[in-house]
Amino acid sequence: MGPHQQVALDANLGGGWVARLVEFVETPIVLVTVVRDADRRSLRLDLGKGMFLDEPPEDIDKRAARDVTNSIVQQVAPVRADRRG
Amino acid sequence: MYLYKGAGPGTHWWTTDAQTAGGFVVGHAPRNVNAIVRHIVNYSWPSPYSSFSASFAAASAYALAGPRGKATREHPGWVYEIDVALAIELGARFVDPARDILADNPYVGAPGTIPTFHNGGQDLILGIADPVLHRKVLVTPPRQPGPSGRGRPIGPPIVHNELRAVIFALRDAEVLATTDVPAACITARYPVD
Repeated sequence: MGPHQQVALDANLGGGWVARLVEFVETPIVLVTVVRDADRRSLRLDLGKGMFLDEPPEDIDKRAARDVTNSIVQQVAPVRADRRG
Repeated sequence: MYLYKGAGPGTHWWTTDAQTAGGFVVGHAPRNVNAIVRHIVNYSWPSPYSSFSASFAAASAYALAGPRGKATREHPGWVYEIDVALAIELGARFVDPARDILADNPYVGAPGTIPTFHNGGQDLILGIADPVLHRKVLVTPPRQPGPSGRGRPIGPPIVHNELRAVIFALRDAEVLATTDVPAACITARYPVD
């Protein structure tokens, strides 16, 4: 996988969940890997809508998830611009 | 006419083959324009609607990844194909969400807000459709009456969820089923990776 295919993260989602990785799929969708201990899930995030398409774990903090979503949108912007160029 | 529905690895319609499970089902909750807007811009679970696309390309974007990761040649995502005429004959019903939202607008001149209007520039729609690449458009105060740069300072452009929903529905060529869609009208299931 090339360097522009993914962005590493360390973003607290509450409830023990941490967002670790963003992988590019196809505009406008990225795949966010969230982990808690040995539990690991992948969630599709629609960058355009700024919302998860797959239901996040029930015990995450909704406000933290929103902040992380905004942070991901800002972090991947330069990467996406680079990929287009 | 055909409609398409993408199912990424690990999603419900990936682990469950809608062709053998009796077709797609929708939840039971009030159906109205507010519910359509919520389905499109806030969350789609649980929802009284099920999303489809008139575009295979748009549907396939949703099938290329899911809770089990990216689709691969060995474990592809699936795009279901629905024959609309057959589905309607079998009792299924669909709505065009952009049309329904716009049709719900009050008449011009009515008291209050027309929710699909905005006060931004001509590039505002780019910002709504792709806030990653055009974020600046969403936060820059739009021009107001008066000399350039000397008008009364205001905040960012006003965008209501109804406008966002219309733009996203158009982006995805989105169609919503308001009823269950029986398996008999599923004409194909294409692998994508």
